[in-house]
Amino acid sequence: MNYPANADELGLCLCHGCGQACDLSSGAHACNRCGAAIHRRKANAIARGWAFLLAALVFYIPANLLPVMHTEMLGSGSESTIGGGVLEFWEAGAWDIALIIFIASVGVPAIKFFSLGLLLFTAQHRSTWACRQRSQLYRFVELIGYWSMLDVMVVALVAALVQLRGLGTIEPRVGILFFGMVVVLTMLSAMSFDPRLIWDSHANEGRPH
Amino acid sequence: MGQQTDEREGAGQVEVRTRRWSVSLVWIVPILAMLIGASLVVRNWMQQGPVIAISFHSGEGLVAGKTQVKYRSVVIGEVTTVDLADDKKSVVAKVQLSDDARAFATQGARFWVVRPRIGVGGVSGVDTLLSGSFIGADSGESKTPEKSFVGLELPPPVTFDEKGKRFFLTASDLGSLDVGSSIYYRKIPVGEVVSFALQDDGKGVEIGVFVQAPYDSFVTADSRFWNASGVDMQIGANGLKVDTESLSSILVGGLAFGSPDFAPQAEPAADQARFQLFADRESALAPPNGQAQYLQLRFDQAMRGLSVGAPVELRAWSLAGSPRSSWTTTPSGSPSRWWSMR
Repeated sequence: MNYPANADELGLCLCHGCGQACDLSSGAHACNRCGAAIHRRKANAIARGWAFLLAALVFYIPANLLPVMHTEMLGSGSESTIGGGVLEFWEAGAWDIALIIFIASVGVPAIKFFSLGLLLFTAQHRSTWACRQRSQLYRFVELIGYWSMLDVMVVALVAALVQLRGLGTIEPRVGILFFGMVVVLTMLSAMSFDPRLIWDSHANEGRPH
Repeated sequence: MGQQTDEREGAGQVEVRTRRWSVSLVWIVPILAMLIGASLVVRNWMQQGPVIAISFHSGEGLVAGKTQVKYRSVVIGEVTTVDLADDKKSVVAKVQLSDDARAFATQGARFWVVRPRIGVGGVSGVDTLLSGSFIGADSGESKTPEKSFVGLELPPPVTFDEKGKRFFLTASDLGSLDVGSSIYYRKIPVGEVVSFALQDDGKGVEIGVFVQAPYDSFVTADSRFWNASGVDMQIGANGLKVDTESLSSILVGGLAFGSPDFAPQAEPAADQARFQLFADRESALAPPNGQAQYLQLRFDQAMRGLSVGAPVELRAWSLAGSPRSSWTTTPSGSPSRWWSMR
């Protein structure tokens, strides 16, 4: 295979701000056009990725244990956790809704934890294993990141709409805050990860210098 | 880790700006997260009170994870599980009390299921119609910890800290009284019947009453209790006399007490004192009677018109039924003479 020259090898680096290809050989540390700091790779990507992922994992526990919603219907109040809600729907026969809630609130964060963990681990160990698939995995994680706030949105919407005073009220509870934190932290983790790290070791080994 | 890229050839000339700390500041985020998580766990652990088991006759209205335990309408705990007892004769509800409700896990605490109840004395627990049942609680005076309780089937009429005194009345029958029947003092409701039970020998009933403070000080050693149920009607020389305590006492029955006018100012009765319950106000407030004596009389004349319950009179005093002690002894040894009056 005939690869064109790597930006590294040419001593070039792309500016994040304006897209200008800067010449690193002159010792420049900032973009010579717009002045933005230039990095070859996202700064401290793996450490940041791990830190945010770990924080998200910690918050994932209270997000699932604490009630996310307080429903008060005709004087009888009840607090519902995510798991409790899934079970309730499942037992009521609405297995499809139960499945959606389960996938959106338990499955997706779990997949993200696993995927990010895998990406960070392999990048850290400069693995050349399944680089293409790992890149796809990263794009997938970025994609589902947008949809992870579904639970938070549902609670926020329902709490805003169901305020019928005596008949029924729904209030958010602290669990949903932790759930939101999990989503934000996993997104930060995904953001700080640099997908080019996947290919760095590959480029080293696969290409003659 | 993140800086490893700067070692690569081609970027060799680039000066590397080093941080003052070798450890990235981003690790503050997970540390903060762990601190928050740990504080949550600790707070949750600190707030959790004791777990108690309450056995009820039936689990009606008890839902695990939903039914709350309330004291004065404040939630002090929640039912975590509802299971059948081992002998399958009752239902055991496990209750997680909150930390500040530790005082309810002591001996003498009482628990009952609050359900809507409609009785002649009134309607209670209407709020549970919509919200579902809850468990009412009442603390005891003991400090000894206790983990298992037997739930009451009916709410206790008097809660532990209510001020007042309990008294016991003995009567030949219960009449139309029930738990919750009111007690009147000068036609003011001052208390209620809290319990009744047959005496051990079956020859009467014992009625427990509770008189609230400050009215309990009007119950003196001289006080007489009488049944104020229904309407007392008397037709006498001065016309028809109707006497009743209150409308609700006509329907539900009630008790009244008072002291006879001739009684001296007596000390307030002690808690748990015993009294006799009289059938009506008149007999209650009458001066105390002596021992009843039974006489057998033989008449030579015809007994027409004489029936059971006919009065026996001495100088226009009615003796029968309530012979006065001063008249039962025959004066000066002369033989008493009896005749039937027609």
